Amino acid sequence: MTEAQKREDKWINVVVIYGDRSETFSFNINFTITRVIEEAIRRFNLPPPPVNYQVFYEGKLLESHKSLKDYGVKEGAKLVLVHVHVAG
Amino acid sequence: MDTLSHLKSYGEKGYECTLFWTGKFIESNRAIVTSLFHPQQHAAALGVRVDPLEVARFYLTLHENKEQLISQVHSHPSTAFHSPIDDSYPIAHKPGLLSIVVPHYGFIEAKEFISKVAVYEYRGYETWRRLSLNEVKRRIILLPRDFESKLFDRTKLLIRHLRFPARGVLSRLKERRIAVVVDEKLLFTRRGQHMLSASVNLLTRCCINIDVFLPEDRVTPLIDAPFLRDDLVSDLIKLALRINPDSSLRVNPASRAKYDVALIIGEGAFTKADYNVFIDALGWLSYVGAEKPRYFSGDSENPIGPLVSASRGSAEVFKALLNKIVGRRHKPCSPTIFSALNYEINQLSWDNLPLPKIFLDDVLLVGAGAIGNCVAYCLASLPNVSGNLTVIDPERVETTNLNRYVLATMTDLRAYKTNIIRKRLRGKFNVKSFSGTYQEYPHRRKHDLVVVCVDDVKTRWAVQLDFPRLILSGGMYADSFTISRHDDFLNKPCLGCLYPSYVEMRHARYPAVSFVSMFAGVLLAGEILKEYVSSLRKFRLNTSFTVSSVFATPKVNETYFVEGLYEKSDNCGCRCKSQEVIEMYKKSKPIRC
Repeated sequence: MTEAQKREDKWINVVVIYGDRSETFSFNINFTITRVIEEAIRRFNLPPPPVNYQVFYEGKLLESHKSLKDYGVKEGAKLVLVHVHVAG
Repeated sequence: MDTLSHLKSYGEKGYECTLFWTGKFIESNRAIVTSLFHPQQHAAALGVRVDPLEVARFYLTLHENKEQLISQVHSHPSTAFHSPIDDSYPIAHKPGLLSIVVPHYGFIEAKEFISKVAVYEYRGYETWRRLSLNEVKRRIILLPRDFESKLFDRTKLLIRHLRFPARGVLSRLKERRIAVVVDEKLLFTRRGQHMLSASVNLLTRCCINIDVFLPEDRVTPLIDAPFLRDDLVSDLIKLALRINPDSSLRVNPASRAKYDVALIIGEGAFTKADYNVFIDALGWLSYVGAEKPRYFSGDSENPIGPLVSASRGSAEVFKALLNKIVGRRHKPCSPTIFSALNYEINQLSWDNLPLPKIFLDDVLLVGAGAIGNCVAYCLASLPNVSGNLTVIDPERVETTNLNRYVLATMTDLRAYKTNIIRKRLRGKFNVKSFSGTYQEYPHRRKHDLVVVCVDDVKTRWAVQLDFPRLILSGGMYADSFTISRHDDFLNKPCLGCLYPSYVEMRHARYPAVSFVSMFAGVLLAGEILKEYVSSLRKFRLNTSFTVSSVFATPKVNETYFVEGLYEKSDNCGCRCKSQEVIEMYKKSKPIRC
């Protein structure tokens, strides 16, 4: 098995919470947070652009260029997708 | 109103403020607001920003509490409108989410909140629609701050009346778990469905943690009953939420938790409860006991027996919970069959003939309170029964009424009580309502049959002194009730004999609970039926029937008193023995039907 195939095989199910909704996603642990955001806004049918969204895990903001693996996200983890909230 | 207090506290500093309303949807576009989330925020004169971490904390709170996001609320310095920033950066892009903009930094009166704010609905992809005032009023139900204490107020008084320490008991009562289990054979019968829907309705008004176990997840209703439409399961869940938004009624939950008490409808086996109460019914008969019922088979369209068994069974469940919390003090009810037809106990007198088509040509219901609601509930559940009903009551529904008004939910708060009955009987009865007192009612002497369910003795006397041909009366206090029939003013006890002295009850806080009024109301509805069906007339009550405690085992002349009124009283409140009143009666005769 090549190194690239080994990487692709590591998939985990995580719950993404947005507002009062939650959905279970199957992500490769090597996905970047940007990819996670893109997948989530597609499934939740949210307006772009992805840069307006951020992901939190266990109270920490996940940086968009890093991967799920970098943050040790495990099977069944809960990620929170957040949109900037401003009122005026 | 907490919302305005928060907005004003920022407004005093010249800042805008944002808050989030959460709660539960009782219909697709109708929600009850149960709580307010006040996020940490960076506020300024013309805008406000919430840190993403704080938004994440809010989302997690929603997720953990299984609550739904109803609305974002924020203040403006002057006019209420949605700015382009408001359009693009809501707390969540959720179709149906409301955004409420409050003018003048929240410095408005609470009573003018709905009329002064601007409300927008999110339609998707950053588009919003402004709602009209009527839409706002229809879609948002604000839960009063003291809702829960008021909802349980009369139940608390009942617990005190039963000599339990109400304060600690009430909070523990809310934590106790009840299972309602329906036998597979009974779920698809009309009697089974009546018992189920009435039991859930009654128990939700005094308990919170109820799980229903059914052999199916979707059940088409076979019956006419208030609140049932397409699917019995989802309709019951919605009903529970509309009675008490804190209700956690679940159907067929996966958890294997133990229950304190199970109400078992039919013979179903259930091993997960510490104590089982079995109920069953057929026609006019109802069974309640700690042993499996083995008496009834087949089905009946008559809801009277099932509704009585639901009320007696709910009383047993309530008693068992109290016993469990405080230690056994009240004996469980011995297995008993009670007939609402002839008021006999443990006599299997069958009368399960189909009810004929009945048209109630002229019934006046005075009092749309606890018992009046139950009379109407039973009339709404009777197949083949229609007619003309006039309802009189001057009052509006309050939160304290919800623990026993079986036709009312929190969406009916502040509506006239008469309108609730009219709404629930619509399509079946021609209901006329008069939202005033009986004394103000202009057509008082034009009714042949008057059903009196008021908590005001003077009104009872006033009805009696109008001398209708027949008066049916119901009254309750705590765990007891009396119903009576008055059709011979000269020779039999009148309403004034039954209520000889005046006690101001109208605005009094007295102990009361749903299953007592249901028992009384259903028996009264049965008496109306007996009046209209010739084959049932021989079973009409002669004078009165009293249950001294719904928690006691039915025993003739010990706890259940049939025909307890024997003769006219010298102390009658109407002075029915006086020559003056007798003359009045004689003169009134031609006016009567």
